[in-house]
Amino acid sequence: METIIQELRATLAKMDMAMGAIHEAIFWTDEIGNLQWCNETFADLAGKPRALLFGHRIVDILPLMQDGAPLDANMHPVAMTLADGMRHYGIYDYAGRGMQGRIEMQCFPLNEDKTHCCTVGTVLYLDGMVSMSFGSVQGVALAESANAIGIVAVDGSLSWVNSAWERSTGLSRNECCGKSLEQAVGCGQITGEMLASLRAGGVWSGEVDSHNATGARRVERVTLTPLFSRRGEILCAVVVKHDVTALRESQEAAYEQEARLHAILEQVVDAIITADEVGTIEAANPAALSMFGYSLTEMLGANVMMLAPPDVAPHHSAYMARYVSGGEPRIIGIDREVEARRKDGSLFPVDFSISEVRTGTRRLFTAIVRDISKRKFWEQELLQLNRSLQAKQASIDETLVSAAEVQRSFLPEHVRQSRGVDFSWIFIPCDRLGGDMLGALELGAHGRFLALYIIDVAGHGVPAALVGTALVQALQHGAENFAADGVTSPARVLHALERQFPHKRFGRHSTLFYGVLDTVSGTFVYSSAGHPLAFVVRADGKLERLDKGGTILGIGAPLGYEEGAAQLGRGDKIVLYTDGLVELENSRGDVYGEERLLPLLTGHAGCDADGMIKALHADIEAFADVAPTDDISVLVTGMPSGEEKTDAKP
Amino acid sequence: MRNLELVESVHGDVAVLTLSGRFDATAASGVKEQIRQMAVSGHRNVVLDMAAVTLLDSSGLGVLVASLRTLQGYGGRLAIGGVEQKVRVVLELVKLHKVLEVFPDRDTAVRALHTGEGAVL
Repeated sequence: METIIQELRATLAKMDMAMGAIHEAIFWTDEIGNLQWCNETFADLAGKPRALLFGHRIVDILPLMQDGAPLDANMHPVAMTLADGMRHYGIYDYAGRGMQGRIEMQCFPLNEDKTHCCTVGTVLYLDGMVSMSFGSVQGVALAESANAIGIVAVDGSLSWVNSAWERSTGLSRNECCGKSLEQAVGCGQITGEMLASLRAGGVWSGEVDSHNATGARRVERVTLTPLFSRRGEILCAVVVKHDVTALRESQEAAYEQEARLHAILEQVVDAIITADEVGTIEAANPAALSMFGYSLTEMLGANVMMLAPPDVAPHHSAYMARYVSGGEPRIIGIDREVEARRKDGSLFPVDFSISEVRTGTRRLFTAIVRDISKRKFWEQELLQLNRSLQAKQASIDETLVSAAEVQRSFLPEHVRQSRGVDFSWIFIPCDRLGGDMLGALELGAHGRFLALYIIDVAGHGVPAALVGTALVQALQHGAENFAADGVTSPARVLHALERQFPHKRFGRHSTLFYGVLDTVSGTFVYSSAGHPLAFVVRADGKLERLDKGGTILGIGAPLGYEEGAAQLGRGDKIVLYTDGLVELENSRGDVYGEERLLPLLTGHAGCDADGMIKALHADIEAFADVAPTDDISVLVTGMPSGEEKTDAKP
Repeated sequence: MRNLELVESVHGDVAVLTLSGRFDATAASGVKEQIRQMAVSGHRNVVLDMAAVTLLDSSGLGVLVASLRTLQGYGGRLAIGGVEQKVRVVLELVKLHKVLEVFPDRDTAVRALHTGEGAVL
């Protein structure tokens, strides 16, 4: 008996030593969770000699942490196994007396009889990897893998998942364990295939496209690998999931892009042709086929030379060889107009650009060709039309120049001295032809009377010039007729014009100033039809406006034509002008105005007529930086102050 | 440079055409045609509100004369209601203020065409 006891003790001691040599900590508890036995590794982990640990609650000996907080005693794997009689497993943070770090703890139920449940457990110190067995390292590697890894039990439910799985599903390990494969993978149809494959003992691999609870798409590469026992029975299966959402989406985007490009190439009206380094056509779009008249079969494999005009084709190979061997590009990247050749040999103008594409070691050339036959035709038409318009415009210009010459022939000589009176004027039409007219006319015996007039026909250009010319002729005719009868009344001349030029005749009105100067007496009698733009400038610079008259010509003289008179002495001048002068506007929007004109007249009262005109002309040019929009006319007549001009007698 | 804006309104049996901006060659034919249309459509008495006209040139004057003739042809009247100093000077220069009926403002002009009262400028 004693021998048996000694042998038993020796066996126990050997077992104890054997257990102590194992790297994993091993323990068992009684039915209330007190430590019954543990190996040395466990004691090292707990930080106390074994004798002091026995009989104490394991939840106190191994206080566990999870997510930075102490683990509730009820959630301790030992407590859970004692409560439900199931295996419990977990990775925890441990901060005991012996050491600190991550541990992996498994707890199995041990039923000594039907009523009492004890537990047996193992603890693996994960941070002590160096001393771990290769199998343990593999376990940790699986647990920490970036891929989501799960173990599926034979009944198709998940029995373990790693951290990556937890992260990818947003569920904790405890929440995942026990779920069916379908729930875990998220696609019923594929799960059926997987399970069928599993039952047949094969590996299933494929992609699973699913949406999570928030509707976000997830594509995962899933591999399901069965594990067999030595007897060939399936023990469980390992599921590895790899998130390929980003990869799949970028591939899909690339496919879509390619499809769109293809559609564009098919629809585009430009011919797009791709050839290799020696000019062999590798691709051509439908537009290229219809533009050149070839079928796709004829086009592919042919040389691009067949698309070039006969005079260019022989040199084409040399061009390409020269470029390919490192020569200067003559056409690459340059858009230019050239001729192309259809299958029937006809030539047509094209816009042609070519670009080089390198794929790996290959060099491809893509030409974009646009048929510009129609554009060329219309360019030619437009050119022709333009030439014809230019010719017509030249003819109109010539006519206008001639008309302007005719109009100018009605103007008096620029500077004139007649019977002791001097005379000067400016006429600046805003078109080639003006609506302004001015002039002087000698009347009476020996030309004693000098008739002066200035006319402004509304508007300008050819119609205004025609009316102006007609008015001048009528005025001269009337003035001479009346003068022949010894009458020089300006009012009578205006009444006569009023009858001949009613508003409705030309649809435009005129203003007109007409006066007669007696060169002997210096008396100036005048009247105006709405044109009081007339001053007497006295030799001392004083100004008197000549404002007698009626309203504009052509509306029936409702106010009659009142006559006025002024007596001129030596050095006095009469200045007549049109509103184009005082309404002249420069680019700043300033208006010339009487405010500028009248001081200038006063300032040049001492000059002769031509001196005053020259000063005025210079001032207009200094003021106006843009072309005038109305005709400008000014007429100055005066009695010179010099003695040599005053002795004229009739 | 602002183009001339035209706004038409009717006050009883008097039609009012309000002009604002430059009444020059660019605007002339538009105004002339507008008044002719008004006359054709039965508005024989027309007030031209020129209070906001900033410039009146010889083309504008031509329109005033032509429009006066047109409306008189239909047995109607043309009255000017309100003119700025610059425009008044132009009208006075060519003595058209004595030919056209010019009133201090639009409302006076409208009342005058109702009652047949004369110009008060």
